[in-house]
Amino acid sequence: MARTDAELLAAHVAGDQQAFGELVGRYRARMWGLAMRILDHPEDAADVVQEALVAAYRRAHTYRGEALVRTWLHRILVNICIDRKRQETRRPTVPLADSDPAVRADMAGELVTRLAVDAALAALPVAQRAAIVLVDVQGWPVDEAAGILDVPVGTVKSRCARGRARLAHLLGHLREEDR
Amino acid sequence: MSDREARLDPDLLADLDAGLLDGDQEAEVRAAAASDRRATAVLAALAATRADLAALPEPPVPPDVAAGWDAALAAEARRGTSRGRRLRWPAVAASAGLAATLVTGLLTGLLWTSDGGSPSLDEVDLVAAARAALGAMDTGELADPARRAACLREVAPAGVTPDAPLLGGRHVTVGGEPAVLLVLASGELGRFHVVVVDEGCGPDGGRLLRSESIGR
Repeated sequence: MARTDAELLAAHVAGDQQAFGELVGRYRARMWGLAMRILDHPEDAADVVQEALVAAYRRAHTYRGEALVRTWLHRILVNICIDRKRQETRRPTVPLADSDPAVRADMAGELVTRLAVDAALAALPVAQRAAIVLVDVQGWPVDEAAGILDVPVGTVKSRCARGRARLAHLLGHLREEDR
Repeated sequence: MSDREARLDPDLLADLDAGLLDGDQEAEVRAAAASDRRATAVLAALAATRADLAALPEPPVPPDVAAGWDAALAAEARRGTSRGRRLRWPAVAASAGLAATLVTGLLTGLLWTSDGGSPSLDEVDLVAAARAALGAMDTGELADPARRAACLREVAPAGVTPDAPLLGGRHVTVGGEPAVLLVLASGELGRFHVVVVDEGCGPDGGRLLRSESIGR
């Protein structure tokens, strides 16, 4: 009978050497995907996830059960991602087609180029991006996403709404005349 | 006409799509959108966007990245940084009411009165001194297990086995005299022996300056 996340975390705090590895094994692929898509520089994702895993390992004794273990774990990761973004020096990122005046001029008023979805996501401000990756890409329930981001449910929905509207345009689902 | 367009702007439709509108407003906007070509197109675009996002693959974790994480966690296990390990110093300090003192002391060096040499143990609490010594291995000749065991046999602190594992140590001064503080495992979870001996302690003799058993 598999142990629950909470049982594994408690076992880890009590000294069980295998428990933490078993727990994070359930979530690290998802943590990887989240970090890759939230960070402006996906090459930092490996470091960021490692930092989050180590932080969770050390802070396990502070978990009080006020949220699900997986919410607590992903919140640690998201906070590290946001801190990493704040510290980053400006490194060039790939400019998008619709910000290039020459491309815009070619389009004859209609956005034809379909950007890859990941590139479109990278165009969103991080708050909207995080909400959309959690809810729309990874399928977290809105209330859990709210717990991870430490904001009200309404804020998550609002960020999703704004982000989806922008993405719909960037992805070519919304044509100029439909706006 | 413009009133109706304003009612069905893309932001409002996105709010509708995201479940942000309350009951009455939601029903009204949805009904209006159903009969409006542009609004219908916007809602379809939002649905298509959500479908694109849901279809994004979860990128697989590269094996070398996963191995790096495993190594980092293994290093944490060796360091014993999770709360449930043998080293319960934070619990000891907290229960003895020393936590604040420890933090302040360690940060500002107030625990030590230094004459340019080793820290001085006067009224300094032995627990605090031992805490600071953990992880340091500044024990001079007593780093040699044979010499240390001989020293401990000579001075015979109560309850201490001469070959007890050394968990940390540092040079200190006691009453102006150079000495060595040793933190030794007791063989019991959560208990340690803190022993202070003179620097020359060894097979030919030594002086026991402090000895205490600390922990739960």
